[in-house]
Amino acid sequence: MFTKIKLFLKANNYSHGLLTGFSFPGIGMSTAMLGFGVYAAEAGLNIYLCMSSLLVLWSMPGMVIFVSLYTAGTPILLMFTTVLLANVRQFFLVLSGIKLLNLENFKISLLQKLFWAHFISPTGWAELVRISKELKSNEIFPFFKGLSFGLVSICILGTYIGFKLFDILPTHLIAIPVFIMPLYITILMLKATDIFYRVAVVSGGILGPILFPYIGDWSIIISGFIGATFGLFAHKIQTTNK
Amino acid sequence: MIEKFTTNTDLMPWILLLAAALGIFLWRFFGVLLSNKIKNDSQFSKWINAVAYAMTTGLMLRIIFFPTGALSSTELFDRLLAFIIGVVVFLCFPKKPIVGLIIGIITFGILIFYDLYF
Repeated sequence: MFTKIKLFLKANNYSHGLLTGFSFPGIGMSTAMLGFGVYAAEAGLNIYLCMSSLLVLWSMPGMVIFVSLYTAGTPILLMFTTVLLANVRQFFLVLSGIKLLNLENFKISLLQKLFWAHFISPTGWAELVRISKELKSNEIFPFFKGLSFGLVSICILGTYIGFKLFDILPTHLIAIPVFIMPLYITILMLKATDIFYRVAVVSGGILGPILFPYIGDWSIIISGFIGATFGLFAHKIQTTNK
Repeated sequence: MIEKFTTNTDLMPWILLLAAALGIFLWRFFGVLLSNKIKNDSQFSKWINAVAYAMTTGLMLRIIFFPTGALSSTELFDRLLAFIIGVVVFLCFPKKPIVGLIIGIITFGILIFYDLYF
């Protein structure tokens, strides 16, 4: 029965995306948001501000910085600059994600493109990479719409639960579902078959945590650049040998 | 005018949220704008994808080594061991990635319960 429902939902790209949003990626992301809800409640945000920051920012580093600086009573310009500098990765994710969505096949305005680009998080992007190998180019966008709706819904729920139950939730037990996201996304990344991306994944994975204690958030960008450049070299060597 | 806004304590959190949103929006905006200029099959397009691959993996490994929130209450050994087991199982059964994921999560759960009760 369950398999039949699953097959029926997968037959439509939007509902396939929705189903994906409510499965492993959604569970991992929503438990991370549950942690954010706890953090926001502890910091003294009201529920409206907490939920608005989730929807308006849709980026974990941006949300955590917002709450931290808000409680510290930071000036507006510092808030803008800190969030701007900590989110350079969004540029590369959107640049790559928009290409994967093949939006040139759809007649949509710049505003609509910006709207959907808003939901390209690391989880959303990783799902796009995975599904781009399974679906036709014009089927990816409807899938992403469903996925975004699923992820947003489940994350709203996670944040709300975290916010309301922040003083009674056992952190050790919350940690188990939170662990899903890093493992799941790393596995998705390791599925890359092209040597260009494989070398980038391994180099980025090694360099990211090594650089972090020295350069903080910049470690993500620097490891991205170095990892991709290593990938490019590996690709060139492979092409030359062929 | 600006002073009137910034001294209003009711509005201030929302103005700060707007400032934070603008900080993120700018990157997304430039990402969308420049995506039209890059050809799908070009070497540069591949390099951009590789940056996203490397960044995302770097970020995930950072969560394992330097977590914040609920994960930070667990031991590095537990996170790392469960993560490695999950990845190794995936590499052994690459056609069934769910197996690696589930075994990794179960291992992590067992390690946490072991730390709590033994």
